[in-house]
This record gives sequence, C-alpha cells and structure tokens, in this order.
Amino acid sequence: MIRNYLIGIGGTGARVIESVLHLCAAGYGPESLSMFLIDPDQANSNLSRTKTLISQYQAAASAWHDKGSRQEARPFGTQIKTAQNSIWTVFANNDVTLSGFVNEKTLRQSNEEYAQLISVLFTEAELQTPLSRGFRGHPSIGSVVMSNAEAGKESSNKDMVPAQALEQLWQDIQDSNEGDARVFLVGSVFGGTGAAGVPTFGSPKMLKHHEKAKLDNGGSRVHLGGALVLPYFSFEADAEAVKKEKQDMYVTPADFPIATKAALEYYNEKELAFDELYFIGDSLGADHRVGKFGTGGKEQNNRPHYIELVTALAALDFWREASVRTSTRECFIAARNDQTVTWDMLPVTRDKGQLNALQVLLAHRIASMTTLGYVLNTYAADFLNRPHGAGENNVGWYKDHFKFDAKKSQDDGKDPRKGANFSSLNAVRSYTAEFVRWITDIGALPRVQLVDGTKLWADDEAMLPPLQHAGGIGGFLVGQARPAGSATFNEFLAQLNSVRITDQAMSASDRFLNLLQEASDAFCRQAYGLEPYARR
Amino acid sequence: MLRKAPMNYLAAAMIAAVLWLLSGLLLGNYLADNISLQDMTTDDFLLRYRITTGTASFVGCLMCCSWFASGAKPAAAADPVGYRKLWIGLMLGEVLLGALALIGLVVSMLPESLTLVNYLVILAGLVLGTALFFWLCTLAMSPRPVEAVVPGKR
Repeated sequence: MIRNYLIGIGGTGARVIESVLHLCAAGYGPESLSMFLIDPDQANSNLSRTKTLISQYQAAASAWHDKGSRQEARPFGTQIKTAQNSIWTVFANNDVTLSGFVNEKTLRQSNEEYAQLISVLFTEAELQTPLSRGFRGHPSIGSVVMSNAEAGKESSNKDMVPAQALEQLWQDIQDSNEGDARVFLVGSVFGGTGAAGVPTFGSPKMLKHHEKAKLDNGGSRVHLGGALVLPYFSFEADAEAVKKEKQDMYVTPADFPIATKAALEYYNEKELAFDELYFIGDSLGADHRVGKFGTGGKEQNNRPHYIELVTALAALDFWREASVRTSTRECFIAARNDQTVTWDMLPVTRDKGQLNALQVLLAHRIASMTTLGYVLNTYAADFLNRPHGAGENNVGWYKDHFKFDAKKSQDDGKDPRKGANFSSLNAVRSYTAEFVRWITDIGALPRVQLVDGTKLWADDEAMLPPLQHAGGIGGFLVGQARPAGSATFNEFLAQLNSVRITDQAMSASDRFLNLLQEASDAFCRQAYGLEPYARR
Repeated sequence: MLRKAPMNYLAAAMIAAVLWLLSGLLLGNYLADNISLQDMTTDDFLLRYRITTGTASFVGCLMCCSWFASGAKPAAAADPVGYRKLWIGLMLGEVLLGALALIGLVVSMLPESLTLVNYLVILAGLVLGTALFFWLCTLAMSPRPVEAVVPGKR
C-alpha cells in the first residue's frame, strides 16, 4: 500500500505545509497524506497558524463528506492524517540551552577534552541562549540536537520529548513494500531548524536505510524526497526593531546568502540518502517582504509566499512521480522566463507531456476554490442569515433544493441554517476564508501575477460584497482568457441556477456546498477559459 | 427546456393562440347563442368581441415575452425582490388590460341589453387571455433566474 508522508521542518517547513494543505483543499492533492511538523519554537506564529489550519482542514473535510457523484479533483479530497500530536517540539521544556542539552557542566568534570572541543565549536552565546525559539539561524546547534533523536527510538536525553508522529511513521514503514512509503522532507537551508533537520533526516541511517526500512534485497521501503528552500523572502529588519530585541542570536536577510552557501557546500560533501531532491529559491526575494523582524515566537508570523506554493507543487510532483523509477540520475530545471511570476511559469511537474494539463488543472482548482471561498463568505453567508425562502432568498437554485417548512421543527434537519448543517457549513466557510486570504496574500507580492486580491477584498478584514462589486469574481485570476471583469457575479448565479442535485439522501449542508462548488467549477471554466483535463 | 429562449416565447405564443381560440370561438359562440341584441347583429358582436379579446391576448402575450426577456438577463438572479415587484407590476398590467378591454366592450355595447351573466362570460374570456395566461406562462416557463419569484412556484 502506497503511503505519502510530509515532514515540515522549521518555519519554512510549516509554511510549505500550509500551501500543501490549501492545494489538497482545492482538490489538487493525493488521495491521502500523513503530515507532521518539527519545530522547537512552539510559540512561532507560522507553526501555530499551520497547526490551526490542519485542524480546520480536518474539520472541514469531515463536515463536507458527501461530494455527490464527483470523482475527480474533489475539494478536501485528500485524507490528511496526523498523529495525536502532530508537532514534534524537540525539547521537553522551554529553558533548554545547548550547554544544558550536551551536559556541558558534567562534561567539564568528567571529560575536559570534550568540554574544550565544545568551546571551540560553539560561542558562549550559542551555548547559553535558550532554544525555546528554535535554533535561531544556527544549524550547527540544530544538528547536534536533531542527530540525537534517532527516529523510531525514544531519546535517552531527558531534555528531549519523544516524537509520537515518528513512531507512527515507523509502524507504517514496516508494513510497506519497497519504496511504498514516500517520505518528503521540507525545510529551508538558510535558517536554523530546517537547515539542521533536513540533512539529519536525510542521512542514510535516519530513514532511508534505517534497519526498519531495509529489505532483504538491499532495497528500502522508503522512497525519500526533499525540498531545500533557498532564500526567497526578506523581512523588515529596521535597526530599531533589532535593537529592541535583547537576544544575542538572530539572523537577518543579510545573513541568508552566507548561510545558504555554507549549507549547500555541506550538502554537496555529505552523503545523503535522498532519491529525489528539489532546490527551490527566488532571486526576487529581496523585494518580497513577508513581515517584520522577529527572532521567533509570536513575532514570527510571515505572510505566505509563492515559493511555498512552488515547494508544495514539488512535493506533489514527488508523490505523483515516485512510482517512475530510473536507474540513471536525471536533473530537471524550471525557472521564470522574466521577472514576473505567472500561471504558466509554475513548475507543476517534471513531465513535459503533462505540464500544460496540470497547469490548467492547478489554475482551475485554485480559481474554483477561491470562488467558493469568496461566495461562501459573502453571498452565501448573507443568504443563510436571512429566513428561509422569502424576499432575497426567493431564488430558484435554493427553492429547488431546499423544500421544507421552516415553521415545522421536524424539518429543522433540512434547513442549512440549523444544527449540524450550520456547524458543517461554518467549518467549511472558515477554512475557505483562510484559503482566499492565502492565495490573495501570495498574489499581493510584487511581480507575482497570479491572483488580484483587490477584486475580492475591501480591506484587510472584509471581502467585497459580490452583488455590489459584480465584476470581482470574474477578474481575480490574473492573465486568463477573458478580459478581466467581463464575467460577473450574475453569471455565477446563472451557473448556480443551472446546477441540479438529485440525491435526496444528501444532507442540507452537503447539498448547499455541492451546489456552490459545482457552480464555482463551471463559472471558472466559463469565466477564465480553464478546461481542466482529466487527472492522471 | 421550456424555460429557455426561444422555446418559452414560442410556447407562450401558442398558448395565447389556444386560449384566444377558447375565449374567442367557444365562449364567443356561446355568447352569440345566448345574447339578445337590440341594434347590433350577432356577427358584428362576435367580430367586436373577438377583436377585443384578441387584442387583449396579443398585448398580454407581449407583456409575458417582456418578462421572459428581462428575467433571462444575468442580473435577474441577483435581484429576486426587484423581479418580484416587476412580476406583480406586469400582473397588475394584465389585470388592467383585461379591465380596460371589458370597459371598452361594455361602453360600446351600452345600448344593448346584456345580462350580468353575459358580462361575466366576457370577463372570463378576457381574464383567460390576460391575467390567467400570464400567470400560467410565467409559472411554467419563466427563465431559471426568476422562476422562483412567481407565486405558486414550489
């Protein structure tokens, strides 16, 4: 049985998982995916955001369980599996320092030579800074810590917490055939946690050739992939903010190139066990500010970036192509043609024959999910706030699919405004709001011409009402076939009116969602000229 | 299928013709057999009656077509309240049309001694070709965006 795994390491890993989740929500993901995160900085806002998003995804996926006859590109179609504790926070408590972790004090008494070696390798600041906010751009610290955690075994170090998610991973791997456990690691090379974690987990004995993964024929149950994310963003590190930060250890964008160079040299020399490795970065990064300076914790809350979307696409390419084995080493390269990022430049696959079809499918899925999210959070939210079938709600698509007497309590189950139906709709609505926020934030970066958020958002908080701004829904996808804004919300309603759902057993919330989803799909085909091909 | 152009227009025209045949021929012949005229010949009465009901049916059909045309606009689905008002306005127009046609016939036939039953039969013919026709056609053949605003639609 083929199983897909995604391990996000550090802040960038968390942000890439965010993108993978959104692609899965849009119906562009694999059938199932187990994911977990590794980050000692528990308060990191990027991490909390991704953790919340995973819960929101799972809530929305279980709330919208009946997608009718739809077989392909199902929204929330990927079954996302997580361990009970989906984050491995590495440390058992918040005040762990490297000095404490390696028992420097004891070493000084018992083995002076080792203690002196530690003093040579690490500065006093590196030894004494609490690691509760991660490794602060110092992979040398992270590698000491992470290499201590042999996957599948509980660490003997009292400062380390066991990784529950890894235990589940090992149980699954032992049940797999050769290469059927497709594990994808993702992290940045220019920070601390990712740069330390990716090579550690990519080393032969950690996963790929671990005794539990080994087969008698010398092969491995694990097919190992990874994405090393090179510098791709900057943040506002004004002198005042840096001065305010009393900690001694931090990195600024100016440190990224040096850190990257050192990391890449290390990867080049080190024998790693990756079957497939993606290097992803962007020279536009200096213009792409994703937030303010912070050493970690709550301050590390970065806006999403298109490189995270590209890295998520790399992961999907890995899972899609993992069954295609070649004995020779192959290299692929994808790059922008110019300084702009457009839909036809997104590297969705290594397979040239599938490139166009998958680009169209991706654009369609993202457009459709954005449309669904926008409509659910504006028109549909207002709709459900009004009473059943009167006035503004006296419309064909609703009357045809929701026949009940609102005055009779026994009909409550048929009302999408009430009880479990309402909760289910709310679960999907909140997730899709996050989706719209994510994709429009990506589109807000300079020279990224994917989605124009000004067509959908009135300000940072509120979306534009579609009845008053009818052109927005047909104009948010940049660079597509029809002139922007020529397809309006009225055409969406026309599509909505043409959808028919005949399954009487379907719950009111599922029916409501399927109506909007079908209309969104059809609208995006019509408005943006996107005709997705059948998926492979 | 009947809710899309040109099928709804053609079907409305056919229904208008059938209803006019019912009112103009059947009811007309019934009136001709039962009415007692003083100055006017039966043929003159029938001609006047059929022209009046025919004109009312024709204008009523045009009003129905105007509903189909405006209801098929993409903006219609976004404004059910506005289109409900429009439908009520057109329905009142149909009723007014029938009433005007009846008043026209009554005034032109004042010298004749028509009974209340005769007037009621004429009224029935006019209602059949105007308000009833409009309601039936819009109920069954309104474009999808506005079908729900027609009273009686379940």
